[in-house]
Amino acid sequence: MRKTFFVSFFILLSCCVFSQSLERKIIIQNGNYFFTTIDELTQLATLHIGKDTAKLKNAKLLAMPVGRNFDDPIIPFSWDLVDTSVFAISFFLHPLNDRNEAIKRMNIASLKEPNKTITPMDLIMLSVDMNPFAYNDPYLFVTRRSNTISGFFYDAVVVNDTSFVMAISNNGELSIWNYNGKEWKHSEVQKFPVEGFFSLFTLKNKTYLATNVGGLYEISLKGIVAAKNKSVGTNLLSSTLIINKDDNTVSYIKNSDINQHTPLNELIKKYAVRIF
Amino acid sequence: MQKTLRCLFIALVLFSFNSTAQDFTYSNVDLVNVTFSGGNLGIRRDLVGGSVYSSPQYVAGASTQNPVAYVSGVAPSAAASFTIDCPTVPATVNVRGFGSDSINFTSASCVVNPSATTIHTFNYPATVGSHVFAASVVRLFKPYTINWEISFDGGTTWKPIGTSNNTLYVTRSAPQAEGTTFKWYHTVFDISCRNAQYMSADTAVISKVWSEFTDQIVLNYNGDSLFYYKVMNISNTSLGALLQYRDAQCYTFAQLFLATIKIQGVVRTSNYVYITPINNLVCGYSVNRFLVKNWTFGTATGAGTCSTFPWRNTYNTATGTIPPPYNQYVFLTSDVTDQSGIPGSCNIRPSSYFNNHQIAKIDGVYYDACYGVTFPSLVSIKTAAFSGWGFRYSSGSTTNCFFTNNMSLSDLSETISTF
Repeated sequence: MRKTFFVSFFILLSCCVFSQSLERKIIIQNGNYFFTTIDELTQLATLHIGKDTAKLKNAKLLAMPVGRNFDDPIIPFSWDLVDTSVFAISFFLHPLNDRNEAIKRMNIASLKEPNKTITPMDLIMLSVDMNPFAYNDPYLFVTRRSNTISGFFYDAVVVNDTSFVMAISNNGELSIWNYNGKEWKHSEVQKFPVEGFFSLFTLKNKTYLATNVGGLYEISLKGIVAAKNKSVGTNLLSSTLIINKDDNTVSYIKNSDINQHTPLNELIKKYAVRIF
Repeated sequence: MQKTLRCLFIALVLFSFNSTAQDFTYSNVDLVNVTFSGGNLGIRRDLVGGSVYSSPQYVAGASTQNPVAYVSGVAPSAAASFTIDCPTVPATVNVRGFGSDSINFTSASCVVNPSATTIHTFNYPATVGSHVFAASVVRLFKPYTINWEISFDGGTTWKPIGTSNNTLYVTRSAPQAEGTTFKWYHTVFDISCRNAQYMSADTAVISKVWSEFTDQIVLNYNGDSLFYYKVMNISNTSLGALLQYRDAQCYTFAQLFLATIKIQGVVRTSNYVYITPINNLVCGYSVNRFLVKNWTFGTATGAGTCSTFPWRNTYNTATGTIPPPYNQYVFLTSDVTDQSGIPGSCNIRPSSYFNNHQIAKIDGVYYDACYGVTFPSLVSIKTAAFSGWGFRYSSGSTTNCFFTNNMSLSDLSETISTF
């Protein structure tokens, strides 16, 4: 029965995974695109990779031992990649998944294509005992400040080898965190009510926070300030950010315009709206 | 003379019967289906992403009938379709229904549709029942029965033409709106209305619904068991997955309990509690594991590494603590061993080695729906339910766990949200 379930799971994963929504963004790096999806049942992430001139449906799939839950309100999967490493905040629900150890770093080459020999439970077990990239001090800080969770959201990006930036909100407050590979530093806690999730992206060593209602802010340990004469101009729920690390551009595309049968570069040319 | 009178009487009776009585050759009437309307609630199938049961809710001959739900204080509406098999049929017939809870569906004239065959159809229009379900009272009708009748003489005489049976739920108040995880699932209605039947007050509804969990036997609408870790590392964590696969983790039982309250329109915020060790540092590591009773502590072999957490277990990192076939803990070495202890829902020996757990909190009381027990405070949980604390680290292909049975060496923290 379980074997049948796993075989069915991976057949479904292979065939239907694209019916799941993209998590936050598409990253283009070295002529390849990368995006992630989450399986609703197992909560596990899949990394999709392909040439930026190729159709999204032809992406190579890699099973990730990380994921996120589907609790209300939704916090999309927080992930980023730099060179050969992918970073993630793994917040899937599991009684052994320690939120304090949720920040993971994986070598892309270590990820396996989904197949029936790797079960979701294997991936979960792998995840819960994977040593963290850094302890999740931002989460502990926020939940110790107030153990009532309301307006709780987070996202993180990798700026460079020595800068992992995380923004986290709860109860109308936002704080910015930076991990330099050894320790965390954080900004003052700032009043910043959010009505839904936000996403971070980096450009030219600056980090930006895009709210789900289209606002755009530059963030640092000094705090958060509105980006001058800039806005995302779209609702993040209905759009996907495109972070092009090859030409240093940031744009968005409406989810309804993402056609898996069209090469990504054509989709971008036709539908993407530039932010930077 | 007497004989003449007797003949005359019989002749009159026969003449009278032939000219004015119903012709029961029309008696081959069949109930085809019944549709409920008029503010009924959309009940979802017990599936991840389950669709809403459609109408007609009753279909003659179907192996199962769709459930129906209303909010109290509302009168149900019902429509029905029938067939009549007869070469000649009247232009109209009268139909009425007598429902459970003495709710009647008044007589209505129904046009018999022409047909090229002997089988004709006619429809009883959507008709509001004679009175509302009593306001602010939970009800369960299993089944809700409507006895249907027909009259061929304009309502003078009536003949039974079938009975429809549907499970019908009446919620005390309007259910809270659906969210990503809270859905109006069939079993949510069933557990809630089955246990809180005739209840009105918030506290009574909560108390009665909770009684479903206290014997560690939680049943779905169909009487099937809902298991807490039937498969010891089951990955189901959503309410839909619990109801679909009938086996899931702690998150889902907390959600199920809260859902059965929300479906009655009972509002309690800050009701969903995530508990985990406070992550205090011991021997350079963060305490992030706890053992739910019972575990036995044998000879401690790890005191050289950590004197305060001296009991040491090891396991293969790749396979985890519960390798296939996922029915017991398997360690490479073990100073502490799992025993039968606190039973969970439909499972006398569920998983018991955790980083976190989710429970409900209502009016200051902690409700652990997985085990059917309550706690008056956060601090009381560890003494009542835990055997020990632990931390662990991975080194190569092996994970090392260190434990203590000294419950004063850590504590639980809670983060509270609203389900």
